[in-house]
Amino acid sequence: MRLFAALTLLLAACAGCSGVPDGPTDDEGPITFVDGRDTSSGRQVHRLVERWNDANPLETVKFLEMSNSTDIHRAQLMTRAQDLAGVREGYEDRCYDVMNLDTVWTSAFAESGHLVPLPAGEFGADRMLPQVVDQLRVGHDEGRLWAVPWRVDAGFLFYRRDVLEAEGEDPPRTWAELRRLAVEVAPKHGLAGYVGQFADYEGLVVNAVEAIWANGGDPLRPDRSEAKAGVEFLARGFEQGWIPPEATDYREEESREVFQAGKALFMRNWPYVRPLLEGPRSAVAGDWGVVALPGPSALGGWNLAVSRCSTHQRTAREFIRFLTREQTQGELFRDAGWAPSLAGLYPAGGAALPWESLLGEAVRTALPRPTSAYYDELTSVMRERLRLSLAEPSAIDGLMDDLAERVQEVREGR
Amino acid sequence: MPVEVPPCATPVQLNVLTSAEKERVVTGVAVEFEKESREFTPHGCKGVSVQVTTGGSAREAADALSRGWQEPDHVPQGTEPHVWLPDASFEVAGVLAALEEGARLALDHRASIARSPVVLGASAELAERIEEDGREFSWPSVSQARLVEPDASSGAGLAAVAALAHAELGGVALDAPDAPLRLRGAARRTTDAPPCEGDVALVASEKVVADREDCRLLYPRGAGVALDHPFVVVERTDLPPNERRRRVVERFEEHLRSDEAQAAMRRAGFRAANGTPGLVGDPRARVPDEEVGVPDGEALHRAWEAASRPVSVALAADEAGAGAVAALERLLTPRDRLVRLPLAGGVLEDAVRAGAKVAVLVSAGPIPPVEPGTSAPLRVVAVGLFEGACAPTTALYSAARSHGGPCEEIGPQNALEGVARGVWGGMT
Repeated sequence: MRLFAALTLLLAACAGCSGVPDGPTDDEGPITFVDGRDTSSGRQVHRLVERWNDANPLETVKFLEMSNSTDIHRAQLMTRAQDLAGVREGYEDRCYDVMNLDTVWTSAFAESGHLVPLPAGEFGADRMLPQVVDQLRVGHDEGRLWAVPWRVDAGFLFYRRDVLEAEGEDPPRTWAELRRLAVEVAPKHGLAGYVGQFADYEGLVVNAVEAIWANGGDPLRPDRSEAKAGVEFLARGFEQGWIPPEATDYREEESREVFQAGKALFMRNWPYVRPLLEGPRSAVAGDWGVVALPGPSALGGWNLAVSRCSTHQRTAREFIRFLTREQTQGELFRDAGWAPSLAGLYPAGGAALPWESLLGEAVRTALPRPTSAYYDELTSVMRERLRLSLAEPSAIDGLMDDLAERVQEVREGR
Repeated sequence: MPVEVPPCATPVQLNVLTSAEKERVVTGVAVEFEKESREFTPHGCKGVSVQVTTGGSAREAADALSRGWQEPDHVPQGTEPHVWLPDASFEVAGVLAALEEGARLALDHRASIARSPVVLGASAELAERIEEDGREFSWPSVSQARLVEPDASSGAGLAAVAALAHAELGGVALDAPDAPLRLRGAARRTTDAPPCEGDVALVASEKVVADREDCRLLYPRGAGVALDHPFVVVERTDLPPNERRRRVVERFEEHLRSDEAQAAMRRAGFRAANGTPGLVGDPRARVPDEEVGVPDGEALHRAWEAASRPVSVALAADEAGAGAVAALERLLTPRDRLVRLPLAGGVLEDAVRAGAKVAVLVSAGPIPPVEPGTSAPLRVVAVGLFEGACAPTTALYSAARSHGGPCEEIGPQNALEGVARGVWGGMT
């Protein structure tokens, strides 16, 4: 999904919309790079920054880690961007030169004039997953991006292979099959049927949007019957008990812990859980499997952007090229398990391991969530109604009608 | 032709750091403020995006503010705040006093947005025994009750500690010679048992007690501690002034003082800023006649931590110190560890071998030289019950000084105080 064409016009009308005074911005020199907390195995981001700094002593990168909570991470980036809008001189060391942005925030930062458009060709965007790149184009301009895709993510269905094999069942290919197995098989083995992410945060929106897509609905038209059916599917799951009530407090880690402790038959989660499920603390090591979600997955991902306040933008772009080049992404794929944005790194045909094929297919077919310059508000109003819907299935009709009106207002920034 | 409406500007990011006790109500009020922002922003656009956080704990957040909310604080404490809503003004005073030079942060400490006195939550059975006129109780009447251990890392918890300290010390005079002994006595009565069952009472804010259906609200007779929930503006001085955000902060304060937000506070169990009681439970209309001040929250926290932490003590005393030893034993809890050793030359290494972290030497007369070296860190507290006991030439003095502890020369009647100062005083 592309940013609005109006944004292109707005930007074209004033290159320097944020009122930053003219001055050298394309210099080389020290920069600050901001990302979430580096929880990767072996602290891969720290390792990369150290490698860069060893090779570039005059263009060193200071790595700042943000909170694990993406809401708080976003708030800090937006705070600093707003504080430095219109100024550069004297505050160079306060600027977050390179920011790693969640896909769903990128348009808010772009539309606010906090990002510098980047030449797509400079970063090999034509070799990256097109559905990811398309989200980041400056209007309809094929040549410029607001940010460069770095990490990509897609949801998967993890299941207890030992249990399904004992029952002579295959992993489900549809949500209806999943429900049947969750209702019929899980209780026989003392397991919860299905766990996902239903706490009051972005994960709830992701899980609900996937359910809406699975029913042929549009998350931006929640008043339509297909979308209502998707939400109702989950709500009935809670009502019927094959989704445990505790799951309304689960984020990624809580659902992983439950599945990893051998207490659930199915789990929706991201690829990062794979090594943990096979780790020494797992009660299900060797007894689990993973397949694509029965319906489309939401596309997750993080993109590298250059701040408008940066005075060392040449170094910032060079650092982004370093992080997104094939060698680096290949290492991160191998060592941290991060799905790359470069399409060529997903092995094809016989060269691919089963997991690599699965991951490649998932990121190619995953659907982007609705983007908006007001995404924080959009997700907030969706969460509020979704929480109520999961608690009270009979109220879904009215709640979704109301949500449709709010979604429309929010998308207009009102 | 309809007039074309220009696109909305990005909402101003407003970060609000609040106490955990107010998190839920502040989050709700913030959502209402975001909605209201459409009224003061052109074209009905949303003007504000509010992020509400609580930090790792109130104490950790206050420490981060004192440092100037540095870059390493972002992971554990969250985004830098523009508004701080602590439980009590003594927390603000603590940060202002500790604000490091060059911290590049300025605080503007403003009036209360809510109130909540510290009260007692009691079971019906306990309340029946101790309740006096006006739904009050006197502290001596709960001297036999057990109290739920306050969480001193929050402002509200520290206020509960202040109430206990006031009750024990007749004020919050932490420098009184018997303060460690008395605070230890109070700490020893705390428990992690569920509150408001039998003789287990809860000293906490009126809001917390009112939230519990199983607790009867009782108010302390005489002076009491109150949480005043101030509004604090936080500004970085190392960034250019953000006039748009400044206006939003002012509007947010106005919003918090509006009838709607004050009603939300009351529905959440807080008193309104003007003292009007909350709407949860059955709060008393009247507020305490006199408020107990908390002049130094940091000192109170240190004193309470010292008084309540588990200790591993080796005690070596001569016959004259036997009374103090017996009294000391009564101050210990199952979480503490006490080993008794002979007052001999190798007593310090014996203490280390016994796993002690503190050795207390009590004597009514000169003791033989003590081997100063130990194979592991040990704090030594010496108590001499005779004149000249802590002269620099004495063995008691040498033992204590060589291990970073005090040597106290006191009369036998104050021996226990001296031992308690050494073991549970703020310095240990």
